[in-house]
Amino acid sequence: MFNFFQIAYVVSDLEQAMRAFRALQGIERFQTNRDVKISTSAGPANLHFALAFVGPQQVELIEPAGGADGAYRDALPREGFAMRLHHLGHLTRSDDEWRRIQATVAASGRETAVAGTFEHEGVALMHYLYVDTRAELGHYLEYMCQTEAGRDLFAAVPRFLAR
Amino acid sequence: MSAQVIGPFPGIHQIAYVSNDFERAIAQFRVTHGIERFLELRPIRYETRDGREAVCNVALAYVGAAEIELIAPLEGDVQIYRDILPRDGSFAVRFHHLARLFDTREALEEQVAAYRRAGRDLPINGASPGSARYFYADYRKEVGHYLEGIAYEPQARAWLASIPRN
Repeated sequence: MFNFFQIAYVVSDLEQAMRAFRALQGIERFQTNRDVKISTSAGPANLHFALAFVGPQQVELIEPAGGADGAYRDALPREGFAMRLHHLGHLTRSDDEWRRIQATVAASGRETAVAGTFEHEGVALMHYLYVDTRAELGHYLEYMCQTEAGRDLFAAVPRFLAR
Repeated sequence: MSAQVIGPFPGIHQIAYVSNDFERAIAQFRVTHGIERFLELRPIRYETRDGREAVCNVALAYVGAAEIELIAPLEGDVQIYRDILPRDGSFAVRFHHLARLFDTREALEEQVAAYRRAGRDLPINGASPGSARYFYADYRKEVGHYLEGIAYEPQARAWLASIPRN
C-alpha cells in the first residue's frame, strides 16, 4: 500500500520556487525551514524546505544548500533556475507498518539514499527514508512515520483548499 | 486564486507513468507499490487533438486514494509519451504527469478556455464521447511534467468504481 501523502520538488532557489508556485498554483504561503541537516547515504546534507498542503496532499519544495546534497542536487541542471519532481511520499502513523516498510526495503536490496529521524530535544517526531527507485520510476519514493510525539509536526503548515 | 491558474496539486487524483514494456512495468509496480491487480485496457484508442488519435496499452489501479496509471504507447499520436523514454529502447518506466478530476465538464471547459487565454499549450485536448473530456497542459518548463485534467460523464463514473483497489 502506498498512501500518497506528499509530492516533492527539488528547486534551485527556494524563494523563486515559492513565487512560481504562488503564481502558477495559487499556493499563497509556505512554512519554511532553512538549513536543516538531513542524513544521506553520502553524509549530512544541508537543505532549505518549504511546505504547504493543498487538500489532503502536502507539497514540499527542497533547495539543496550544501554538504552531501547530491541526492537532491543531481536532479537539477547545473545552471539556471529549475524545479523538478524529486519524490512522492508515503506517510504512516503505525509503528507496525513502519517496521514492515523497513524490512521490505532492506530485503529489496535497494539503496536507501536518505534516512533519519526528525527530533526535538531528543524526542523522535518522525522517521523517514528514501528508496532509490529512480531506475524504476524516474524518481525516489519517500516513506515517513509520524510518531505520537510528532503528531502536531505539520500543524503549522499552511493549508489550502483543493479547487 | 484566479480562474486562470490551476496547478497540478489541487485535488491530485492520478500519478501517471509511461513505459516501453507494459508487462514488465506491471510486474515492477507489484514490487514498488504492492499493486496486485490493474484494470488493463489493451489497447485503448483515444483522441489527442485536432482529429488525431493515440493507441496505447493502459493499466489503472488505486493505491490508497491515488490512482496509478501506466501507459505504453503503441502507435498514432504518441510522441508525447515516447519523448521521455530512452532512445535506445532499453526498458524504462518514467513519471509523466499528474491528473486532477473536474466535477463537471463545464468546469473543465472553463479551465481549457483560461489556458487558451494564457497561451498554455495543450498537447492533448480531446474527448471520448459518452465517457470523458480531458486535456494535458504542458507544465514541463515549470515543473518538468504535464498536468492532465479530466471530467467523466455520469455514466462513466460507475466504470471508475471498477478500477481495482490495492
